[in-house]
Amino acid sequence: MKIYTGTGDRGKTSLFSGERISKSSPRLEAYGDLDELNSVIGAVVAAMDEDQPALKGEIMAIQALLLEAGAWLATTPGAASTRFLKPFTKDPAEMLEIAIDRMNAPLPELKHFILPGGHLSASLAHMARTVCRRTERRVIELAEHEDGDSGPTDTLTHILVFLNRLSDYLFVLARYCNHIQGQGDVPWQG
Amino acid sequence: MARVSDTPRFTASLVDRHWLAPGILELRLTRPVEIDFIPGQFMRFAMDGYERDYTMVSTPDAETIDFCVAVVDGGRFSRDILRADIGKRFQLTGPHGHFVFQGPANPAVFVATGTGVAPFVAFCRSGVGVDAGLLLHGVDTPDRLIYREIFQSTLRDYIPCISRPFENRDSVERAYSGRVTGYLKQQLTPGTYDFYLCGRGTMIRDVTELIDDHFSDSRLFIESYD
Ligand SMILES: Cc1cc2nc3c(=O)[nH]c(=O)nc-3n(C[C@H](O)[C@H](O)[C@H](O)COP(=O)(O)OP(=O)(O)OC[C@H]3O[C@@H](n4cnc5c(N)ncnc54)[C@H](O)[C@@H]3O)c2cc1C
Repeated sequence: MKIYTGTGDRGKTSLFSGERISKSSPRLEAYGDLDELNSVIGAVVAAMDEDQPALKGEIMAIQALLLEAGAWLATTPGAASTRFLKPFTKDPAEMLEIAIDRMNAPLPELKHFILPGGHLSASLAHMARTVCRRTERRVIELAEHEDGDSGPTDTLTHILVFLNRLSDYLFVLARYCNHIQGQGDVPWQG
Repeated sequence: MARVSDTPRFTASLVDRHWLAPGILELRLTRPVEIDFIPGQFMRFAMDGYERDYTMVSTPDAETIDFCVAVVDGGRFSRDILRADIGKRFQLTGPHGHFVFQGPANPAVFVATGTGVAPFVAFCRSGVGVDAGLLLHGVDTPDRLIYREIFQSTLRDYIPCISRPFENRDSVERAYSGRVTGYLKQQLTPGTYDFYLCGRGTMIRDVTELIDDHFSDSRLFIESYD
């Protein structure tokens, strides 16, 4: 299969549901940022030590969920092609909450602001967190742009909750990465 | 969307192989009972050291799974399928793909070159999208107009687009002399359509540009054979 099709050379692309849209449309912005987020999370995994297979597996499961969310964002609500998409439910956000509590348990209580940094894996997790926040903003914009008065679909609502929770997960993950490296948080000396 | 590990695997035996037209074979394989697919989807043949994708031309409930295959010079699958004995067992995965009929939102325009008609044969045989469907089939010579009777009898409209000059023009009903792009530019009434493009990448790129320029509110679904 060829990687390039040449069908997007003039600034337009096709949604999964068939519409030809500008590459600067809010829908494209939203799933473009989601793609960026997934790539940065991939870098977090790559920077982690080999001795964390369970945590790496958990993060890769989150990457798979982001692909599923991306497929929904690339599809106009109600289109026939949604038959190929896996339902995006509340479960992923709930799964994140359990993971956040588990990682947070051994961490010292936060008594000061921390700087995004420390070990490479922690720094990348902080970067992923900021990209996640931006993605969330873009998805909110999309929801406002596309859904008018009818409000976002359940799927979009679940994706938004998931992204909100994922930012928290990435914050705790960053601290956890520094913790398992034995170097702790980088405090703000301001 | 399916993950790689979720994709079912099957074994199917070759029961028939015949020429549909010069350079185009039709293959029939036993249909594994468990297999289910939506017209327009394809199977992946896992050959010795390489893989190739082919779109079913049969219906999901038929006794065999059938494919039409362009035999190309120097092609690996082309060579291996010509040498295969009847009864040979193939390893397949699938069904794959999302190139299926999307409902009657807009009038459907199916555009294919060569064996790119395969999904539309499955649509016609299953009765999906045919009432309001127009098919443009691009070929270089009229003898490559495979599945013509099926298209003529099921689709609302069927226009063979023949790119090379040919004699005896009256023998091909409603033929357009030229490429599918020429027909779309000159003959298709302006409007909003659901375009379904299947075949080689060059046709898909050219038709996509044309759609963006002339039918920009339309929807576009693509299956590239490249
Ligand atoms: C999703 C999908 C569905 C497909 N469905 C079908 C189908 O239903 N029927 C079908 O015939 N093919 C189909 N194809 C294409 C098919 O998978 C092979 O690529 C094609 O049959 C060539 O395989 P080969 O091993 O014989 O030749 P290869 O060894 O792959 O190629 C040899 C040379 O031939 C060229 N070539 C390949 N195809 C053609 C062609 N059609 N005309 C001229 N030159 C060509 C190649 O560029 C290459 O230079 C599909 C492809 C995809 C991705």
